[in-house]
Amino acid sequence: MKIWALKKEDVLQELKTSEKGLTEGEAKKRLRDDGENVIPQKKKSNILKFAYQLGNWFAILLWFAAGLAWYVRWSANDPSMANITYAIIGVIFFNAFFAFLQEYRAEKAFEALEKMIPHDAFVIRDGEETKISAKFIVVGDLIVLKEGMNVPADARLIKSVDLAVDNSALTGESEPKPRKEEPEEEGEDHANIVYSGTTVTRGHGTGVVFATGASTEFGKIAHLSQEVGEAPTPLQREITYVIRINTIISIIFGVTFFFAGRAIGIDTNHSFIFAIGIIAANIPEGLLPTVTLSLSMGTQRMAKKNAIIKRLSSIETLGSATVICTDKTGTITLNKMSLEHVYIANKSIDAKKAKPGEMALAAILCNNAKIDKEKVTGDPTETALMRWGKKIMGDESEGWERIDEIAFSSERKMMSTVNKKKDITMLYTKGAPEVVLEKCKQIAQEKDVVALNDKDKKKIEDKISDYAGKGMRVMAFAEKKLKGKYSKENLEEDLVFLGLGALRDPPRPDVPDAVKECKRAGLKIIIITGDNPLTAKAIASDVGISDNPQVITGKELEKMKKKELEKVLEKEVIFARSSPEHKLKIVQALKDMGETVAVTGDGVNDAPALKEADIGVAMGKGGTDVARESADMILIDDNFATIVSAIKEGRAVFDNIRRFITYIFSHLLPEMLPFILFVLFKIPLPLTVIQLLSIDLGTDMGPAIALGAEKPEPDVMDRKPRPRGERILTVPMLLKSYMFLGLFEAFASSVVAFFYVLSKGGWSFGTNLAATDPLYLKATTMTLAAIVVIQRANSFTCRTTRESLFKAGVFTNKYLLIGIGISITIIMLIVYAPPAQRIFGTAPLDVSDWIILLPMAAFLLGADEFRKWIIRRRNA
Amino acid sequence: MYKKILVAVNDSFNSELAARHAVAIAASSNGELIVLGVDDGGIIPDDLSSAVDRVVNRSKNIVNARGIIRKGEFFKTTLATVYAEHADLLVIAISRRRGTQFIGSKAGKLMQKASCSVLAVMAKGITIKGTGLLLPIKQDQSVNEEQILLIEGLAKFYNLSVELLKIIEQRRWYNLPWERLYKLRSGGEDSMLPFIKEMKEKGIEADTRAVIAENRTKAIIKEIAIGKHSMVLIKADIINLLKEFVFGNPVDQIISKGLCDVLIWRPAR
Repeated sequence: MKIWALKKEDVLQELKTSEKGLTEGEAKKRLRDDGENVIPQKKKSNILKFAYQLGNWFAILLWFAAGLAWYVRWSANDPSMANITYAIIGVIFFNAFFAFLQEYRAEKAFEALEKMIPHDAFVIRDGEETKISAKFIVVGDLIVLKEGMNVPADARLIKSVDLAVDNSALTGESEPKPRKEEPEEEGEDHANIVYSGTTVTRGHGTGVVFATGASTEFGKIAHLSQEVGEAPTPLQREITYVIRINTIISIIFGVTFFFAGRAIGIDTNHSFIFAIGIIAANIPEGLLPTVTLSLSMGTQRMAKKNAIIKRLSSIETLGSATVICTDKTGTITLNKMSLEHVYIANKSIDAKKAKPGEMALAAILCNNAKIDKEKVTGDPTETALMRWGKKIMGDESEGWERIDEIAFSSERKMMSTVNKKKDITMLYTKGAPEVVLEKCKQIAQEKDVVALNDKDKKKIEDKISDYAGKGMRVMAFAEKKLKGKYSKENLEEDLVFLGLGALRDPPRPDVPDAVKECKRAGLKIIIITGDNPLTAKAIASDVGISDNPQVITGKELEKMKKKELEKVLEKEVIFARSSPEHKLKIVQALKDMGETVAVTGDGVNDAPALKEADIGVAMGKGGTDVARESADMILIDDNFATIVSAIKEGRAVFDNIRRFITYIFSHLLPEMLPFILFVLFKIPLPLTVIQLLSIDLGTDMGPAIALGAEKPEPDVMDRKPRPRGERILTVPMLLKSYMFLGLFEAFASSVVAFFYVLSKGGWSFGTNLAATDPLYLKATTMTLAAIVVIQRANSFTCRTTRESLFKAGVFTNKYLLIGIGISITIIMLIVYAPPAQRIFGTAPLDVSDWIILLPMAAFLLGADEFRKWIIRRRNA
Repeated sequence: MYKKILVAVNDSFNSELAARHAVAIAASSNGELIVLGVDDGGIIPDDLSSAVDRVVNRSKNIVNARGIIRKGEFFKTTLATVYAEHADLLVIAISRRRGTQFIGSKAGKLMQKASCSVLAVMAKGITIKGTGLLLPIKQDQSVNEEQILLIEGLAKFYNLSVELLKIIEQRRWYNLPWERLYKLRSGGEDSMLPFIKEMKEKGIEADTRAVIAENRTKAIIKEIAIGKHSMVLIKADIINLLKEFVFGNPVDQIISKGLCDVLIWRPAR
C-alpha cells in the first residue's frame, strides 16, 4: 500500500486508528504482537567471542600438546613438564586474544545510529496527549512532533504546521525539508512522510506511525548490517588454510616421531616429550599476533592517508581488488560547480555575460541553497546557480515569497517552486533537460514568448549534447504564470522554456595520476553515476579512464539479462543515469564473474551495494551514517585517489604477511632438528621446549611485526592483481623457509653451536648429561643463541624478495631495528638474568661464544644475497 | 484456479493485513472470498464481527466476498469450515507474538492438517516499498503449475516483478575455484529460464539469479534484507528434524528476520 498516496481518513482507517489515537488496550495488544520500537541489536558477548577463539585449529593442537605435557608430568612425576603445560596454555590464551582482536568489530557506528532514536515521545492515546517511552510506540499511534525533537518511528503526517525535518542521517543532505500533510502520488522523497532517526528543525505536526523498530527505514539498514553475514575475507581464508596445513604437518610429524621414538627403544614418557617438542616446534605460535599487529599498523598508515578501515582483514582484500566501481561527483570530480555557459533564446553565451532576465530569476527562486551574508550553502549545483543568479540580478530578485514547492526527487529529476510578488504568482521549474523540455509548450525569446516547435527542440537537444559532451552538467529552466488558485496536479505542465545552464565540476587534480596507476596495476575502473551519459563519458575521458567507453543508462541496464550484462562488463564501460539498485546489480554481476569489487557509495540506498561488494567504500564528508555503517572503508576526503593509495597499502600488507610468514617458518626446522637428533643419535636434547617457545613468542615477535611495517615495494602497482585462488603460502616459499634458510639455521645451531660448547666442555659422544648439568645448560643456551642471532640476519633477508638488501637500504625499516633491539634485550635477559635462567634452563655464555655466532649470521646474509642475484639474473 | 478462498481473521491488525493477500489471490483467480471469524471464547464477539465486516467491505469492490462467524475451538472449527465450504485455499496469518514458534502455532498446525492448499502469511507492514516478489527455490526444486498461478496472481495484483532466486547450498563455497562457482551459478540460472519465459508470456516482469550459500535460510534473509522485495513466497518443506535441531526452524528464522511480508505456501494434499 502506498501510504503517502492516501487521504487522511484512509490513513487512519487502514491503520485501524482514529484522530483520538489508539486506546491503551489496543496499543498494549499491538505492542505484544509487534514488539518494542527498538532496533534489535545482534550482540555476541565478547566473552563468547573470546571463548570461540580458544577452540580454533591452532588452539586444539596446542590443547592436545598441553594435555600430553600434563600427562608426562603426572606419569613421570617430572615437575618441569608442568611449566611447559602452563606455557602452552599461556600461548593458547595469547593467540586467542589476538585472534579475538582481529574479529572484534567496532560497534560504535551502530551505537551512533541507535542514539538517533529518542528515549521519550509524545503520543495521542484515548484522545489525550501523553509522554511515553519511545520504545512503546506501536503502529497506529499518533505521534506529536515539535521543533528540536527526534522522530521516534516512521510516520505519515496528518497535520503539519510549517513542519520541516533534517533528513541528513538518511540522505546526507543537511538542508531542512518541508513536510506536508497532503497525499502524494509519485516521487521518492514523500513530503508527507517522516522517518525515524531524523530531526524536526521547525514547526510542529502530528503523524500516524506505520512502521516501528526494525521495520523503519533506519531499522532496515541496521538489520541489513547485522543480518547479512559476511563471508570470510580472502586473508581470513588464507590464514585458516595456513593454520590447517601447519596443523596437519605438526600432527603427522608428532605422531611419526612418537612411534619412531618407541621403535628405537625410547620409553613412552620421553617419546611424549619428543612428540610435544615436535608439535610445539612446528606451530608458528607468533603468527596470529603478528598478522593482527601488522594489519593494525596497516590501518594506522591508511588513516594517515584519509582512509579508515573498519574490518582489519579488509585491508588485504583491498590489495586484491580487481575492479573499482566509483561515483563521479565528489569522488572523481571536486563537486565544486560553476556555471560556465547559458543558452537563452537560442543563443549560447558565456554565463558571466548574461543579462538580467527570467532565467536568472528562476535560478534564484527555484533553488534551496541558503545565503547567509556573503556565504552560499547547500547542494553544489544549487549554490553555483544561486551565486550566478544573484550576480546577474543584483537586487532585482528581492521581494519574492515562496508559497509552495514540489520537491526534487531522483525519480522526477526536477523541482518546482511557486513564488509570489504582489499580485503575480509564478511557477519556476528546473531539472534534467530531457524531463523539463518534455513539459514545455512555449519558449521564451529575447522579447516575447512563442510556441516551441520541433526546430527549436532540435536546437536545444543539440546544445544539450554539445554541453554534456564537453563534460558539463546541463540544467533546464522553465516557468509558468499562475492565475488564481492552482492545484498541484498538472502544475508542471504547459511550461515556458527559459533556457539551459551548463555547469562544470572539474576533476580532482590527483585523479588522472591515480587512474594511470590503476591501469598499470591492472585495475578496472567503472563509473556509476546518476549524471547524463555524455557528461559521464566526457569526465571518463578527461581523467583517462577511457577515451571511448560504452555508456549504459539505467533504463538499458534494467532491460539487460545477466549474461548480457556480464558481456558488457568485460569491456570498457560506464553507467549513467543509474540508481543505487543498478549499482547493486552491477556489483553482483561483477562478483559472479570472479572479480574482487570495491564500490563507493554515500546514500542510504547505497547500503546494499556497499554490503554486497568485497570492499564497500563510504564517503566521510558527504556520506550518510547509514552508508558509513555498511561500508568496510571510509574515505575521509571522498577522493578517488585515496582509494588507489589504500589499494597500494593493501598490496603491501599482503607482501608483508608473506615476508613474515617466510621469516617465522624459517625457525621451524631449527626448532625441530634438536628433537630429531635427540632421538636418532641419542645425544642430549639441544633445545628444550620452553626455550623453543621463548623464540616463537619472545625474540622473533619484534622483528616479525617490524616486517609487517615494510613500505610498499616500488613496483607494487606495476603488478597485476593477485589471481583469485593464489595462496598466501606457496611451495617456493615453503622450500625457501624450510630447505634453504631453515636448513642452514638448523645445522648452524643444533650441530655447530651445540657441539662446539659440548666438545669445548669435554663431552664425548654417548655420555649422558643431567638436565641441570652446567655444561648441558650452556650448550642448549648456545643453540638458542645461535637461532636468535641467525634469525636476526634472516629478518634482513626477508625484507626483499628479489631486490638486493643493500640496494633497498639496510637500515630503512626503523621498526626492524627497534624489533632487533628488543629481541637482543630478551635473549640477554634469558641468558644472563638468574630468574630467567631458572625458567628457561639457560647458563651464561662467554663473549667468545657470541663471536663464533656472528660469521654464521653473515654467511646466511651472503648466501641469500647470492640467491637473489641468481633470481634477478635469470629474470633479466 | 482457486474457486473458494477461505481467510481466517481475528481481531488483530496483523490478521487483517494478511487478509489483503487473500483478496489479491481471489481477485486474480476470480474466486470467491470467504472471510471466517472463529469465536473461541477468547475474543470479544463485537470486535470479531467488525473485523470480519471490515475485510468483507473492503474487498467487496474487488471480489465476490462474504463473511461467516463460527463458534468453537479455532483449529477444529477452521478445518471443519474448510471441509464444509470446499475451500481450495486457506489463508491464515502467522502470529507476530514474540516467542511464538511457527511449528505448534495455529497457522503451523493448520498447514500440517488442512487438506486444501494453505498460505500462511506473516505481514510485516502496511507500506509496500519494494517492487519485487522473491521466490527462493532450492537446488533440486522446480516450480509447479499451482505455484505459478499463485505467483501470477500476487504479482499482477500488486504490480510486482518476480525474482527467482535459485539457492545452491555448498559448504565453504568460497574455497571453490571461481570457474566451478561460475558454472554452478550459470547452471542454476539456466535451469530456471523456462519459468522466466512463462512468466514473461503471462505479462509479468521476471528474472532469475542463482546464489551459492552455505545456508539456504541465511541466503533468503540476506536477499530480503537488501530491501528490493515487498514479499517472499516460500514453499513449505518437509521438516528435517536433525537440521532443525542444529540450525533452528528455517521458517521461524525467516519470519522473524525477514523485513518484508513472508508467505509460506503448501500445496493441497
